[in-house]
Amino acid sequence: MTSVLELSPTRLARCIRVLDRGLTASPIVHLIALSFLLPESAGGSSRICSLLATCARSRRKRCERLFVRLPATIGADDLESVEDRGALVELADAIARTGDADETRLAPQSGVRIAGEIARDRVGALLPELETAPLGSVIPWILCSELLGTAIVYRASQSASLQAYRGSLLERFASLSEQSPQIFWKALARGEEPLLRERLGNVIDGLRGAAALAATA
Amino acid sequence: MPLFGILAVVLLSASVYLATQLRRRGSTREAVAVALAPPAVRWTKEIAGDDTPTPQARIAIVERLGLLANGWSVALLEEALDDEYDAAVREAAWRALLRARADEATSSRST
Repeated sequence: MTSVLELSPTRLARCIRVLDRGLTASPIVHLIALSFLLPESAGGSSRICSLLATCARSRRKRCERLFVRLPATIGADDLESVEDRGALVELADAIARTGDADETRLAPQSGVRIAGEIARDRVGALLPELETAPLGSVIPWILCSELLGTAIVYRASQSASLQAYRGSLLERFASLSEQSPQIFWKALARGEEPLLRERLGNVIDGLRGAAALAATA
Repeated sequence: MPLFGILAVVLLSASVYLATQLRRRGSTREAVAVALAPPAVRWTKEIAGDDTPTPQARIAIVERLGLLANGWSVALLEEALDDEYDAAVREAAWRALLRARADEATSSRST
């Protein structure tokens, strides 16, 4: 299933500014990146698009507050609520149940776009854990990484930096999935992830390049 | 007998005087404590709850709000300008708000 996030010039500029600052000053920068770059539409039903937009908005809202507040410690309440998890379960369930025939045409590209392919089987495989994992666990962030696009697209030009970053996120989160949420929060608060930081730096460069191309068009 | 009466009056006056002094000293101490405590600001409540962050932390908060430059962060910066008593934090909030509005103006021109 194709996933898309359209970034208006304002939104793209905000995203670059916040991620740039977050990279040097916020240990939760990867959660911020995920929440800022989550797709808001997909080639599925309008219900999936609406659930995607709802989930992306609620994750972004929480991460924006974390970015501003810079807490010394992180807890379940900072990361999600029961309602947030419920919406994510509903979304994963809807994606997993969608068939190939349900794919709809996406709107034509209007500016810089984050695009990708959502693997329905992988999303479906996460459902049981998503339903049972305690609040604040890493599982919802694994799902968000699965939903994340793989290319920054502007007209004919593409940056593949997002694909490498997505791969590293999935690897790191998978290594934390057997641990308690507390271990995940401690890892977040420490924020020492050189490879992830380097790859996110490449993503920011990719976004900057797309913004520059769009500005000169 | 009158001597006892005079003595009783003197003792009563002394105890009243002592009690007044002790009470006054106590309230002075409270007044000093109140004067030393930094005034609370309301605009940080949404971000930091009931604990008022230090002025340095508040400057960091307004800078980040300026980077976000979206609906709720701009509203909070405006609230900070109204509510903030610390000159350095107000200055930072003013700069952040100007920058957020400049970004908004630039992007509305380009769209």
